[in-house]
Amino acid sequence: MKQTSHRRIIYWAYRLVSVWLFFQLLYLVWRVFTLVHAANSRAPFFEHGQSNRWETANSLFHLLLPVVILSLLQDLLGSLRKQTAFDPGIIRKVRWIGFVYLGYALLEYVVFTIVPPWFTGQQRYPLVYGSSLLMGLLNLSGELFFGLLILALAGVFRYGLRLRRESELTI
Amino acid sequence: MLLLGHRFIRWACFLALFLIVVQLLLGIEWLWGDIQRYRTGDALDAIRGYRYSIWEILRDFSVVLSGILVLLLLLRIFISFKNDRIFDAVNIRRLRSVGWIYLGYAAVRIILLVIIITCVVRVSGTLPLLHRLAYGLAPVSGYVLYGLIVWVVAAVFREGLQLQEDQELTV
Repeated sequence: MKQTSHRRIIYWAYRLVSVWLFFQLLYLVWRVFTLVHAANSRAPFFEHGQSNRWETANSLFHLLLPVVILSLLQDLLGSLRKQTAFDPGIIRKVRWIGFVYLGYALLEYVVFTIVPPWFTGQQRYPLVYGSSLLMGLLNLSGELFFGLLILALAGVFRYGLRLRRESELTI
Repeated sequence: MLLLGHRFIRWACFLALFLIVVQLLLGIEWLWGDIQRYRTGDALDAIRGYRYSIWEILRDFSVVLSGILVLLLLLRIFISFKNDRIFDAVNIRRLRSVGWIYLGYAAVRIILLVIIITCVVRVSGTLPLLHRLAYGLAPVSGYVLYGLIVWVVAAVFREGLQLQEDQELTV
């Protein structure tokens, strides 16, 4: 059976995401291993490219996002390969990707801007970093912006779901 | 268009327009600052002895340009949603262009990053190259992921277009 172009894209995206997820997991394990090794060696963290424990936690936190997103995306693409896109389950998965991006942006702000001064005594100027959260929306690299975009597009999928139901009723 | 609501779409259009204006203003201010620092020969923050070069200006220019292009395309997509053209071949093309812009931006950023790191290492000589690459590549992989997700959404839109055409033929 000849595959349509969107099916081909989904097929190749699925394969790419699977390979990427594998290497991302390997990289995460390697990073955890090197950081644990650095912590056990009692060497100053700076020698290992980290200035303090909060930044260590920060780098691990940043590594977790692609792993979570890639696993959600792999799950979504796996479902897309088997069934139609306009299904409540698929729409829920797309919305989850949007919510993870939004949650990440907010959690990053809370965990790495508001909390650290209580432990380290370093002043982080939450208001300035609050504006950096807003900047995440303004410059399009921000997870906040992308999360909102995905949620908006997931709203369009609901229209597709209605179309599909109408089509089934017609038949 | 009833499921999304005209009010939602109108707000999305306003937000996109607002972001375009802010992006333009911030971009001009940002690039102007870069050009001034380049002309006066300021040192780059945190890297001893390294001064602003044309590559930093190009990097920031690519951020602003890609941001404005993505916003313009999204604005046009939302306007067509408002006009009840959802699963439309033009929208699919626009979405794929958004994906291409994210991917292209990631590619340009990697190239500029390698050039900047090479320049920095030539001056400072002591910069841990692998660390810089690792930290620099992390956000770039985020853009590749953005591009991929937008492409998958475009593929789903194509399926929606087929469904819509089938329904129109049935009617």
